[in-house]
Amino acid sequence: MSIIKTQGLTKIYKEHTVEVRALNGVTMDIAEGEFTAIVGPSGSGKTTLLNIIGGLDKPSGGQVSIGDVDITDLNDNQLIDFRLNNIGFVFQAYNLIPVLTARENVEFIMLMQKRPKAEMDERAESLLKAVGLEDQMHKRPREMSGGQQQRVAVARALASKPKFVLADEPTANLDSKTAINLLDIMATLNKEEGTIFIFSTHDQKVIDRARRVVTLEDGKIVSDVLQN
Amino acid sequence: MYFKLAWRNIWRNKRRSFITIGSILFAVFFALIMRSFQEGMYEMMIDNMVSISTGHLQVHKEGYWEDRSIDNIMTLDQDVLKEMNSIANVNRACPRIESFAWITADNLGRGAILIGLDPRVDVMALDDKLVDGEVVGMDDKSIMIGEGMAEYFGITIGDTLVLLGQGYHAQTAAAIYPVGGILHFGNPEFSDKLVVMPLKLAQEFCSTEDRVSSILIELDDIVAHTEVKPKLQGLQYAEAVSVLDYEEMIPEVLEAIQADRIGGKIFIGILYVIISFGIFGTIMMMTAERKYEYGVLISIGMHRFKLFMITLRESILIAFIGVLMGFLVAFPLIYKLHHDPIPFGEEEMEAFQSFGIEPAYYSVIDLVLCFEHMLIIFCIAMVVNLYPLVKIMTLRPVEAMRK
Repeated sequence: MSIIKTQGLTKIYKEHTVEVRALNGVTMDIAEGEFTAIVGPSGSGKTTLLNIIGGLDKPSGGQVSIGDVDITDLNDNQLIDFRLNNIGFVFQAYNLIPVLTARENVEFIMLMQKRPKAEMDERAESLLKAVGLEDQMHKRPREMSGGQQQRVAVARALASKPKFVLADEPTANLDSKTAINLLDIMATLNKEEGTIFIFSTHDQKVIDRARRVVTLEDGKIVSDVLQN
Repeated sequence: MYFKLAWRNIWRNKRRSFITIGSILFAVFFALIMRSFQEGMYEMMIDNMVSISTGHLQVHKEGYWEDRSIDNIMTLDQDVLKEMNSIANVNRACPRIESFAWITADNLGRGAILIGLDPRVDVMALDDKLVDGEVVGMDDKSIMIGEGMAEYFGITIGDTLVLLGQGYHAQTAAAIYPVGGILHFGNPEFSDKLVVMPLKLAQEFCSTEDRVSSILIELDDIVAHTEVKPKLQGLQYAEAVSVLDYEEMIPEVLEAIQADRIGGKIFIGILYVIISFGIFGTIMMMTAERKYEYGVLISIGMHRFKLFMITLRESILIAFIGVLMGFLVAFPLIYKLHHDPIPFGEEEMEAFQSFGIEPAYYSVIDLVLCFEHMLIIFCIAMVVNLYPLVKIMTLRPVEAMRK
């Protein structure tokens, strides 16, 4: 069953007098439980596509439906609420809150959702355990390695029990071994939590671990392949 | 956790926070010291005038204030004096004779203000002003003079001065009196020209019998004058009297104070503007530095207003710390200057004396004044926070996260 549907998505940026077409009619469906990589060269539109699916940017044309909600119709506040309750984000630069500990970073999302304290504690602990950071819970981001920070970011993304997680180049700042380890964790959580993972990358080792690979070039889907 | 986040954010960039707290601390410190000192100067001016010249309230024969002549005096009724002393909020009622005399010693002469008073009870607080000799008694036949006059005539305790003047109904007033005490007055006008004598001696010198020029009323609290005045007006006097309060007697002093107070407030206003820009600069820097982070927080689902409330909490904490520290640094100095004023240096002393102002750093302890300025600076810090509010409300996460 499709959870995410994009229909004829276009995005046009204006740079001075020149129009740049970042997305050019992208139509795709993503079903429950998918573990999908969006790949393509720099400037192919991967980040723009993720931003639009994540409700961070508005398309110039086309539609994005998440479940039965057309997010292109939502206003700013509705989009923020929608993101909080339906989408988890993992960024290339980790983007944890530097003054909070790993555990507090994970709890913060649930705090915004006004979850009960006991539930917050329990879920933060179990997620950090799932990403292998049970002994790093009280450390602040600056006391952790890049790989550890990105694992906290994955735990944070899942804390709100989102329908899907968007990860924009999550392994770009990590070495190969750490990147593969992170992907394995994401794949495990994808299976255990049933959460959709969509990530952009151009790292072949990471691409090999995805079950579906969507390739973009010049803002268009040029291939959409299922892998074993 | 929002409070924890705000608190930790403050100490994320310690230098920036210290600069902001320092600017607020300086503004509060400077505003409190300056205004307390300014109000202290006014209080001292009024106290000087009230204790030496006018009293908080004054009862005298109708028409005396317009024509302060020795002929325009009133009968002193001891029963009325007792009644005055029994009115609530009246600390003491002090009958006085006031006149003028020509003072001579050897070949020197000088015009003088002559005040006859009851040395035991008068508001002039002679004991505090005595620098040499003794405070004369009510039945003594000696006088007290200011330091400036003693210096001018080159006389010491026991030396005599000749007083020439005009007594009641043009009777001749002439006598020679020994100097029993020398008094210190901050105001040079009083120091050079004041002669203080026991009331009985002054009545004898001016041939006024039991009459007095005025009765000065000292109150427990200056603000009680509006409530005591009608009670004084309601007493039974031997002749028509008028009762004036200090505001009616020294309007020119109060107007000068008001004008100076406005000047002080304008100066403080300029300080506030400068400080506002200082705080605004650091808030602007902080907003620019954290634009990326704001973008991330909005992306992951934080409402803009909630995000603003976190930055507001940070600003409230910084402003509160700065304001509190400013108060804690300023208050001991204000307290010290209130209880132990520091005399000016010689140059300033001359300048202030020429204006008839006590030449010392004295400050009032006025917690309302302190709170007022602390609140103003706190509010400035809050107003400056409209900048991050506007930035957060108009921020586009995708652009904010683009490095």
